[in-house]
Amino acid sequence: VTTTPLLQLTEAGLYCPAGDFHVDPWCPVERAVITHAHSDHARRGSRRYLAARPGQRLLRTRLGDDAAIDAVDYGEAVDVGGVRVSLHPAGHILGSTQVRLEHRGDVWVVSGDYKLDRDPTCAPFEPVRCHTFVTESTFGLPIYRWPAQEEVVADINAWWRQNRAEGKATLLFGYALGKAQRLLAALDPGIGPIFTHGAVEKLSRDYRDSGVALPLTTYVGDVPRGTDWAGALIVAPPSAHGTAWTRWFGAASTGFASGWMRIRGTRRRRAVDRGFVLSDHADWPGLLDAIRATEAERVWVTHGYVGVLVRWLREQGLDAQGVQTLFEGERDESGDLPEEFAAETEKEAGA
Amino acid sequence: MKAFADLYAALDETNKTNEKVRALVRYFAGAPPADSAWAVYFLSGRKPRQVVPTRKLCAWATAAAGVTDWLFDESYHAVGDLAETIALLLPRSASSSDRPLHWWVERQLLPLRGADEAAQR
Repeated sequence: VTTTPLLQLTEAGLYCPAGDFHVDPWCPVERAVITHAHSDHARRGSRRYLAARPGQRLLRTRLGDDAAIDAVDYGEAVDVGGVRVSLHPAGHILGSTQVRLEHRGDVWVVSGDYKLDRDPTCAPFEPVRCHTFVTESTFGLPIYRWPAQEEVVADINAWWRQNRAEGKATLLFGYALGKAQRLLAALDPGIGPIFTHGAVEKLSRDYRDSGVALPLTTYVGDVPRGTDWAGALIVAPPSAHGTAWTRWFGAASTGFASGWMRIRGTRRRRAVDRGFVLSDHADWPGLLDAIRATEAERVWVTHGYVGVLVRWLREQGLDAQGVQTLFEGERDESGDLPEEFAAETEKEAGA
Repeated sequence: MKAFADLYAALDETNKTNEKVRALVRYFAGAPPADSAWAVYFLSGRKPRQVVPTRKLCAWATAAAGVTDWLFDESYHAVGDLAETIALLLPRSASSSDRPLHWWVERQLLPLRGADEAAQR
């Protein structure tokens, strides 16, 4: 057991002094290990990046053509400044990874964002044993328990079918990176034609280029004016909701797929017709299962209901502490990310 | 009761008045008079005088959900509605019932007022 912790929190984020690198830094650094391509985890400007190979295409889109990205396979160990680093699937989005660090027998795992539910668009979460586990806590309250996703998908399909029968378009909101592709892969393309917002289309192209099978989609900007949208499904990011863009589609029913839809008030405030509880994060039982599976003695809690999860874990006899990060990611109720990042994402995606 | 629950969901799921009216017409066309009367009563915002003290409801829900008092409070703070908090915390029911709305109100809910604690629980 070493005296200095393997990771520490600096103004740039989580830093490993032994190996001289950061994990998901908030500002440009020499060497960054990236857990996934969401813009609050993958920031531009660092000299060199290390990431999991399946997410390489997405990261290229996020970080730009000039970024130096070293891609490694899941489970492949590399030496970074004397620290043994390996990446393990986190099940959050395509290429999302947990970061395992090993130095002089001390093992730490940084979860990044993760979910335990199956997802056809990415590798499933893999528990990794460690001494210290750094976990997210986005949905760290016992009210967040996800329904079986087959039921949620069936509900969305039934809603789309009903809208089609009533001559309406179906406007489904979900975060442009990850959720949108998971929806596309899960829904029944036999119900009607599928169209996408520009941000969704661009990122879906990256998924296809990475070998993920998605149904045929058409970018709404490529469709002639006067098109009849009745019966169609349009997948768009949450920030498009309530904008003039949505008026193209005439009579439409609106829905939002997010873990936040578990609470009625949240859905009402978003003013969507339907809320579908589908999240790319672990629910409360999932967080506790994942933490238990690591067999860690010490847990650092970030991103979300930090205080609640820390207190609960301490009451269960674990050495838990909160680590406040700059980006409190999806704590914001309005979408899967704070609006400023959602907006940035769409700007990057050219929509 | 299931028909009333479906009506409530239909009213809750749309912001359009015409669709709300359609859902109401559909419900009242099929509901027995005793159910319709209670449906009007609840939908017009009325509710029976408290049948079980809130404090007890919270305590029993906390125990049934396997959480602590402070975790219940944190959950309530996030949800903002007590009935919804309890519904979200309780384990999913393994069974279901086809009893009508008026049966639930008249035979189950109202008799709880003044009943002994074991029966209320």
